[in-house]
Amino acid sequence: MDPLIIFNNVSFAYPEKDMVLKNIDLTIHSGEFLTIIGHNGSGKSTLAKMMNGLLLPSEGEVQVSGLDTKNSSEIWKIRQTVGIVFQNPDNQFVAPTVYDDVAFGLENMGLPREEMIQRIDLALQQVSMTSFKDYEPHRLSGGQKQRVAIAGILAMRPKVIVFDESTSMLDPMGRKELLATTKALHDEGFTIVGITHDLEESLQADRVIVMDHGEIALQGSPQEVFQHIDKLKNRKLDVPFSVEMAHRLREKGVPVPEGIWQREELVECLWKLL
Amino acid sequence: MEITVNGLKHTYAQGTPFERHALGPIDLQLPSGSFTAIIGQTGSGKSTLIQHFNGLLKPTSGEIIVGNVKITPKGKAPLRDLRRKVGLLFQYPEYQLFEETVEKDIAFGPTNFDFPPELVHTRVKEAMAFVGLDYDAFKDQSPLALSGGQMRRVAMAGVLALKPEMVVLDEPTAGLDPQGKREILQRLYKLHKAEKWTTILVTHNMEDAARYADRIIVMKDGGIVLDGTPTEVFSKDVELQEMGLDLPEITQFIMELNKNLESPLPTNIFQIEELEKELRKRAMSKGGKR
Repeated sequence: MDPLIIFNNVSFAYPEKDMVLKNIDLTIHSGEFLTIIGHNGSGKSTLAKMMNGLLLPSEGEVQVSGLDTKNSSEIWKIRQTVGIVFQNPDNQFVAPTVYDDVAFGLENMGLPREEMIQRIDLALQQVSMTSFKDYEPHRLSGGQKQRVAIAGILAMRPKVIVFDESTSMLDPMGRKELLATTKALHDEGFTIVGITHDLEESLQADRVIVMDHGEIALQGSPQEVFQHIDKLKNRKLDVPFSVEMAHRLREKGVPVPEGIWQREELVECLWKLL
Repeated sequence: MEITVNGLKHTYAQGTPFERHALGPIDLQLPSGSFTAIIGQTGSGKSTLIQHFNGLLKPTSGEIIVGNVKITPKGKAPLRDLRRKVGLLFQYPEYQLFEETVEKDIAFGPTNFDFPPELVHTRVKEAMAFVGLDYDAFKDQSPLALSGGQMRRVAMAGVLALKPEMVVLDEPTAGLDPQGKREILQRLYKLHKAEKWTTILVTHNMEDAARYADRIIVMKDGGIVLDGTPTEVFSKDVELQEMGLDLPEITQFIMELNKNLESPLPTNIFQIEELEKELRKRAMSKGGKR
């Protein structure tokens, strides 16, 4: 896997404020599905906004496909490589129809008309929104709006899509829609970075990073990270229900093996014990 | 404070080409001191319904009786009095903060209702204590410079400072980290008990609905489709899934386990501590027999 985004000893502070990020070293590889979790104020959104130069490091550097985000002449290339889907689906629309909205980002790229049309059609298809192309964005559901926002990014042909708490304002159905879309895009080869409070979302990832007070506190596969119950709870985070229940029973002397992870595993094991 | 809803219907933009029937007919009674969760997809009518409870919307037909105030399509209900008694906490309430300091923001409601200054001061202090914000540390800060969780608490304090008798919470914890969520809900629940509020919680989170509410109402297409205790409502797993709603994780787990058990576990357990106890008891008694 090729390194795509590299954080090299990155620190960040807003003017006259405390450090939000401290000495972050992080490499995100091509094709990876990475989830970043952490309490409110842990620095995870700041980290996300560094990935396409929306924020620039106070110290250290961020490289995207070998380009330094501080290099302002490369910033458009960087933003075409890394797109961010934000939290509030209503704050991301600029055009009167879904189609025009997806076209908006392309209009500054100087592409031939045919190619624009081709890209828009494909992007809408990738998020299953083709039949809504003439809709006014505000008539869509939350999940549909977020999918249109993704299409706008896809039309730019990015390599990385960052989801910055993109499901937190959606209802359960919208959340499922968006998670399915995310997974499909990852399967197509896109690199996915998800910032989230949602456990189910983080379980889909190849790698989970736990942020705490501007530093990376823990990282590894979801299986590895979510076994650290105490470390997570100390950082105001939850663990999956099955992991927590297995841990509680073990503590009380019920012989539940270590490393239980999925609901089915715990059910299987308890069934023999009850 | 009790709420009675009789034959409530609401149509948006009535008499225009954009006319849209959004709600009803709804008949509903919420007794004083009850805690009701309302769940349902976006667009199912939840927000339209709750906006009738303090007169933000008037019914197109039917009536709502909140305490001793009756709201009808044409009537002139004393809404000012109603709005002091019914606290509405909207989604992302931090977007509604606007004053220069935390103290001024929380004092805005009571001042507007002409509370005497000493009373305003007491209420602000009390409300800040309730939501866990230190008065001296926060009173002079700009609300807009606080963290998301702190801003949400300021917004909550603004509602609490009016000492409402009924509280309507619309997704009060969206966007907060797991511990922030728990903290806020536990504080609200404590207040619900202590102040004998009639509480309505609109939520997408089935865990929260199951944990705190004594009654759950499920809405779809502007109507009430399910209404009962958490145990009753979550026993309708097929209907809920068809509506795109989930069961609480703990209920899914119990149901999965019950498939393999001779004597099934009760499905009215919604707290992990309680389920742990039940499982331990069974494991021990079986272990003892061996």
